[in-house]
Amino acid sequence: MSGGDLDVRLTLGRGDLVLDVALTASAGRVLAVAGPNGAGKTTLLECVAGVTVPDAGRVVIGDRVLEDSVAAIRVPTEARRVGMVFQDYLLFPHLTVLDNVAFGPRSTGAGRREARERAGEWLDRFCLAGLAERRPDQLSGGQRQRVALARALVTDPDVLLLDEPLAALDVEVRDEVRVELGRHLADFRGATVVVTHDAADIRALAADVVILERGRVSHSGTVDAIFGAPTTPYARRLLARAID
Amino acid sequence: MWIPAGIALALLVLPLVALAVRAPWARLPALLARSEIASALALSLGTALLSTLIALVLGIPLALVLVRSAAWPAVPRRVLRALVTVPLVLPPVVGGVALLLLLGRRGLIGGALDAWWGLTIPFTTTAVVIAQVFVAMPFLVLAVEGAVRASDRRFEQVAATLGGSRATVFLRVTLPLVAPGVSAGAVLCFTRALGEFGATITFAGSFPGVTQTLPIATYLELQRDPDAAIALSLVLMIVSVVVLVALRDRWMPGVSA
Repeated sequence: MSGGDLDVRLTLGRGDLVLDVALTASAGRVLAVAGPNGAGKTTLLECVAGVTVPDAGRVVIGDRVLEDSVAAIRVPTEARRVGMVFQDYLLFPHLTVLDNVAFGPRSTGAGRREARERAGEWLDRFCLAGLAERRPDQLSGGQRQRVALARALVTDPDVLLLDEPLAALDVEVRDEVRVELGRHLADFRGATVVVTHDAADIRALAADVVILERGRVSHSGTVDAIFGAPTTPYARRLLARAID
Repeated sequence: MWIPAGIALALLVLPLVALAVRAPWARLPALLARSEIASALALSLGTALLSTLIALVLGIPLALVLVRSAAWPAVPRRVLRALVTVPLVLPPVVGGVALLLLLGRRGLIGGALDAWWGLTIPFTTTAVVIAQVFVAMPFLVLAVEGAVRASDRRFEQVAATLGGSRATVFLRVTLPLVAPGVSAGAVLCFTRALGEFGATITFAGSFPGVTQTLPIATYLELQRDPDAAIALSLVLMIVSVVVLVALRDRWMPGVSA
């Protein structure tokens, strides 16, 4: 039950950062949001997830309005059906892998056994079944990332947000994990937004790309179109790195 | 550095050694079997436990408010912190006098309680518990506040994106993550309540079986039967050490695992 396209328009001022963004992520496609540090990429995801409040704007998934500053609508985070994988994964340190993944189902009304069964299915799908009883600090970086992704997807979100999903990993394993992440994202039917500042991520994972510079959109289009015609120095530098 | 450190350590340890050496070990069983001692022990353990439970129920929310107050303007934020900290620096006797002035028969609230409902709080077991909570709860509040402040708020944000309601997030994420801080605070609170003397004797008096807790019984016995006082001191010391050791192991799971 895919929720449709994600449509975001928001403004927010926090000290030096002035975010003024409009973007759309299509259901069944992956949108990469790239940009230098401090461009407001993470803040943008937080506004969609509802953990940060924009000064003004509108966030819509399909026909579901999550945020509308004019109509004073604000759906709380827990009712948004927006899955988010944070940069350092934030697995609950006091819970096993299985209970981390079961947290979502358990929170949304499933009984203990049913929640664990559903979590177990996702662990199987992510080749994590053997790690079910481990604690997060007994996992490698790549395994943590998979657990975080499974934990978000088991709740069947309408939109999936990933904040630099590979940045916390060692360079040697990054390529392998990226390929696997791409496979899992291909199976997801809602809209996916991946924040990154790595051109290799954009190439491998995304179909569309938005480049944020100093809180504003400097490029927006399909990956192929943007890679063909970058127009700002940052975009040229970013995309040049993908070729070597 | 070594000499003053050695003196400091001696100052901390030698009195306890003296207590152990001079203890009337042979008479100990007989002394401890005396009914007023057993009732003082039961009263102390019971009231300290109840005080700790009350401090947990009321103190954890207060600790959370204290954490939230970081976003407040400076003046109310500092006032709140000062109010919570006052009992820590206040001599317990003063606390006892203050409680009398509030809840005593002619006190600010106590007068009305007495006139309307015939409720008298001073010199009852209830007064013992109130005095202990007054003196000991700040330890718990500050320990929990420190733990919450040090914990990563983003765990709560993830939990919310996974569909967790505020109550679920609090019970299944916030609390377990700060559990070590809560345990540490509860232990401090319990031992402080167990040792409470000044506020208790001022506000609750010293009625055997009703308000005469172990520390008060110890002080009174010192004039009547020094051996009994030593025996009671030993009991207090052992209870404190046992609590510390027993709960020390409880702090670890959840953090280390």
